[in-house]
Amino acid sequence: MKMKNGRAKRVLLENVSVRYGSVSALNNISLDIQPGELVSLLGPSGCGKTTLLRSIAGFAPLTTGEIFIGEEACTDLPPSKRNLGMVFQDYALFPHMTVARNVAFGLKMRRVPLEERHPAVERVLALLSLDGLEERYPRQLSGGQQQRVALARALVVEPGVLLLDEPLAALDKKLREEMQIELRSLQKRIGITTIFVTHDQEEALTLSDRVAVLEKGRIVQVGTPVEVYENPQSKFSGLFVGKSNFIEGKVISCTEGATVCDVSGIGRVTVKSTAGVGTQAQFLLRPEKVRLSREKPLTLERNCVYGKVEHLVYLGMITEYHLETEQGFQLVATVLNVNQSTQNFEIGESIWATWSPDDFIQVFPMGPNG
Amino acid sequence: MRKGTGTGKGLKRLSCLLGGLVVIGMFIPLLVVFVISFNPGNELIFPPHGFSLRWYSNIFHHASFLSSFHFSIILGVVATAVSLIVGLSGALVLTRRKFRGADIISGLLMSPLVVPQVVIGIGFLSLFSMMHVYHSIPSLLALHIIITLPYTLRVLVANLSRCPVSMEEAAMVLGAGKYRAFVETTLRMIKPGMVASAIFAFVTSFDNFTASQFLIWDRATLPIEIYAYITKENDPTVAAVSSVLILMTVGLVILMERWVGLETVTG
Amino acid sequence: MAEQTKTSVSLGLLLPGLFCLLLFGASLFAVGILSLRPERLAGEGIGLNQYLRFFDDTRYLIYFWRSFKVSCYGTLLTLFLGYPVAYLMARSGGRIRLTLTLVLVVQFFTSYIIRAYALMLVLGNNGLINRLLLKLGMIERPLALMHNETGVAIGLIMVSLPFIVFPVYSVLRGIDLRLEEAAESLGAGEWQVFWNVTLPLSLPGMAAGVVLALLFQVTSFIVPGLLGGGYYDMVANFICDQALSVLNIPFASAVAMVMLAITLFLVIGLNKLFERNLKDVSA
Repeated sequence: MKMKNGRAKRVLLENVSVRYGSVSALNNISLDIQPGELVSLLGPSGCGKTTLLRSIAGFAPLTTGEIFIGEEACTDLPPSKRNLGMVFQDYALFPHMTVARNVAFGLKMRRVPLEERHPAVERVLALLSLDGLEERYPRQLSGGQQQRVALARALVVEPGVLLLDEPLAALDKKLREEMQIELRSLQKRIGITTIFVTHDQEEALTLSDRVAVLEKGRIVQVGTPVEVYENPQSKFSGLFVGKSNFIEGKVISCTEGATVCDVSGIGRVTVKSTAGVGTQAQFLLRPEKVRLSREKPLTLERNCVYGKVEHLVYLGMITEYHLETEQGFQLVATVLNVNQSTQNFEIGESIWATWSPDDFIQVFPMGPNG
Repeated sequence: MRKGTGTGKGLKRLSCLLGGLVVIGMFIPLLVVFVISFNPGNELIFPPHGFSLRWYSNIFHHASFLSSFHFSIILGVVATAVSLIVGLSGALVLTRRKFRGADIISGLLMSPLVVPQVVIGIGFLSLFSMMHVYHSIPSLLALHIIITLPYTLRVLVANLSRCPVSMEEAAMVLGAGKYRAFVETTLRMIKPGMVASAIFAFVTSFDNFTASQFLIWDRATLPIEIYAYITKENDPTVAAVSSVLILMTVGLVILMERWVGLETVTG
Repeated sequence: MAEQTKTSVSLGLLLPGLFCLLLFGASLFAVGILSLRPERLAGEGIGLNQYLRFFDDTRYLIYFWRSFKVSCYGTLLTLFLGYPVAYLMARSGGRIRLTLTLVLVVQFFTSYIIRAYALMLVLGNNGLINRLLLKLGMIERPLALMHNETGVAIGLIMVSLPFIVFPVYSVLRGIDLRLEEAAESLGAGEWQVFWNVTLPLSLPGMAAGVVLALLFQVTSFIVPGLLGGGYYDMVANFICDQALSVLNIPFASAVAMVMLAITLFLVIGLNKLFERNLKDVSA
């Protein structure tokens, strides 16, 4: 096992922009990644997350801004001099070299003497459970094995930062989930700063110390998985990370932090908000925060609505109910399938949906960074 | 220059320099041919002293050039057409039916590429002499079909491999008869391949010299006339003929690039 | 075509091809037969006299020696000169690549005779190079660049360049650039990337090109004929001369059979060699 205390580097991006002609791939990105952290870059395709990773690696030249790895400004440094470890999306294993040669490549480039190369390669292969595969060629390995060889190759040179470009995308679901756990525990054991690109928000939440959500070349939100999920700061974050109901309402009254909005299709709701009277406010409501019952909740006049179950989706662990209110508003609620009797609703049934005012999360059109 | 790596200039510069020099080296001789063809004098001197079209008009005084050009074109067209048909039928069988000798037959049909031209030439000379057929037209035709067949076959096999039978089957389910389905789907899809291989085959036939020279009993092809002229005479008429042919080749290549692309040639 | 095509249909389609094969085979067989006949077809009888005559007289072996000598170093030089062109083509942007491709394809489609003739105009005593060097005062007498081994070698190299460039270009184009990026991320400078990744992966293309170029050069007729001017005849020239000038068909046939055997041996041998050593490279 490798202890990397003091070797893990901090990665700092200041006002980084990358433009190709008239197309802006990254727009004024600033990000501070602490040594030893695992940060995910999350977003839909085309949001710039891969460009961001590649600019840290040195393959995408910056139009503006600086990148620091450790305390060194490396904006003008070629990739071969940045001492990074990188795992590409399709692994990019050298097909004409054995596993051992692939893994030893970085050491060869650093002119590590032959006698030291062999044990280092053996160590890292053992770390990734690849013993015995030294003389195989990449095409003779399974997807999971190839992925681990790519990882071994990146790690053996003991880089300051590890960059991963959707490394698990080619694996099937079960293998992917296993690898996610393995990857996370490996990263924690070694303690290396890791930047991970993915479009799979579940993956991001599972692995990361922090998640950076990107949309159209900008960072929309950065935070711990809990923060990003429970407190989305923009409509985009809320809808991309997990599922959410999106609700717009006009503010009617505002007293001591308790604001009342009029939402067409639902009626009056009480929320925690600081929006001014007469303005339009936007909110996100997570489906699991909506409670369903056949009886009308007696104590609430607001924050409840009566609707008909139009559609349901059974997902094993949970069931997703799509309700439509009399005024035509669509609300999605998810229920954990534990209590069979009381929470088993049928299509066509009309039921009550309620929620707490705290669960209405106000969002703004562009996140605070936008 | 598009690059996968973002570093250094050394490799880029070196390949530009070396590669560029070699390409220029390939280009210059053809340029010289052009320049010489306009030389008013009789000598093959460089640089020429003036500008004259007399060598171009001289071409028309040599009936052999004109008639052999005519013959080469017709021979090329007919050989290519037959080669396409034979190649297409062969390719259809080779790609659609799996049978034991397929690889061997395919290899044998490509063998003219490996056999030296001189050997092929003597072979046909011997064969047709033995059959007492001392005529250029049938022997040259047979020769040209056989040497162009590998090109049409290879290209058509590659194209047909990308046209699975399931497309014809889909057409039939939609109401097309067996032959209609073939014409509407497969044949349409391999049209660029057929054009490309036709051009390739035609050029191969038109330019062929080494094997063809054994079969000039009563007819000659253009390359044979040109070679004879070079070895006997010493004036720039050949340069004029060559310039015309080079221009035609350039035109053909540009057209080919526009129509079907050059991947058939470059791979 | 679709549906269970009857075997008869398949056979029918294959028939023209088989007929061509038959014709081709028959022609080679005819050469074989003739090679066993006596000198100038005078008289009857079958024997190996022609072969004996060929192998006995070392004067004749010089043609084979020349062919192989020039082709060996000629092919290597063609490889060294052709690789940069292919690399340049593969790594250039659209317009440059297109221009280069056009130049090369035009070369490839231009008859060998015209290309050899063009080189005559460049290499001759009154040709471009000599005229230029004389004018610049760099030499006093014209360099003998034709009618000798040098001229033939230069001609063979220039003419067989496309045979190398195209396969190498094709393979280089197919190399995943991410492999080069991965090497770079592991600390390889651009020359190391080339040496460790690009070059090994382009070996199959180089192998294919070498076989094509070597085959062409060994069996070449036109280039040694025009640029050698009779002073550097190679095997093909010798055979042709024997057949069409000396009119000794049996002898020519015997030499042709020997040439065929050697060529086939060369091609098959090289293919096997490359297959065995390069099986790991094809990804």
